[in-house]
Amino acid sequence: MSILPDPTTLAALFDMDGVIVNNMPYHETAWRIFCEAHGFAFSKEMYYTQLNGKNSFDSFAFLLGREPSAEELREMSIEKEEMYRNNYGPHLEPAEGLIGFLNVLREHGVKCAVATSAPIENVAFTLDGTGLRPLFDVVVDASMVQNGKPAPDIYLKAAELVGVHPKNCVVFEDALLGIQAGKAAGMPVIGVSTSHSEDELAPITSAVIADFREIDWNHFEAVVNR
Amino acid sequence: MQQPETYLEFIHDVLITVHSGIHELRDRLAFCDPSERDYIEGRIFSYTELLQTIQASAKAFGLSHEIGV
Repeated sequence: MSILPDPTTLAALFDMDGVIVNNMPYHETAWRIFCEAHGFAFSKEMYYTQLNGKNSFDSFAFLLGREPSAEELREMSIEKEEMYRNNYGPHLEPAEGLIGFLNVLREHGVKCAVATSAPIENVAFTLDGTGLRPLFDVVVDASMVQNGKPAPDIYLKAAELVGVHPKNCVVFEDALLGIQAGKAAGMPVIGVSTSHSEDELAPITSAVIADFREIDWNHFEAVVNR
Repeated sequence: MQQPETYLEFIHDVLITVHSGIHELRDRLAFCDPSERDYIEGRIFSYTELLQTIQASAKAFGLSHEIGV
């Protein structure tokens, strides 16, 4: 049974990688090593335009040029994600200003959710490793929706689970595919310039921040009311 | 003097080699003769220690984020 949206409540929906943690160079390095080891072509541009934001199935399908088998998906995903967690583990910490901003949102009654294409192991690694999990009402991971970003499914699912109408949700995203997903869900998107420059994100988002020290309640409310 | 990108490519090349070594050894470990197990586990340990050394050095030089380790 779906939860009816409350039109009077707002929600902030956060992508995970590159948004609530500043971890993109660690993912990039893990992908680079994985691709080189397996003979897949890799470039920084390809990573940030084609892989960043995709779930594991879609990422490996892109590399292979076909859908991976369940066995291939499991093996490749374990190898790549273990490498990433080993690389980033010693540096794991919330993005600058995030905890303060989440507390401001919660004081104003805004529901907060994570909506990520990452596998569930990475979600646990990030949210439990940083201690951020209790600050979110809902966590939606790749396994909970049929279609990954850029399809709007994951943001619509998060809106449904927090019980807020999609038009009252604001998305925080760093990835081009994630921004497409948020916009396809009919939500304003605030770009976080960890994967792409402010110049790249400004034309396709409602606002751009480098991190959460650059946003306060007034700024958030202005985006909602735009 | 080399460009900074060259140094980055160099360290990534080292990381690729180390990770490939670990991956290959883990595959061997799954099907190895019991007499080989200690030797293979020792080599995995050495590779892992090397990775940790690279991580620690990157951190000491403030390069963790740039290199991604």
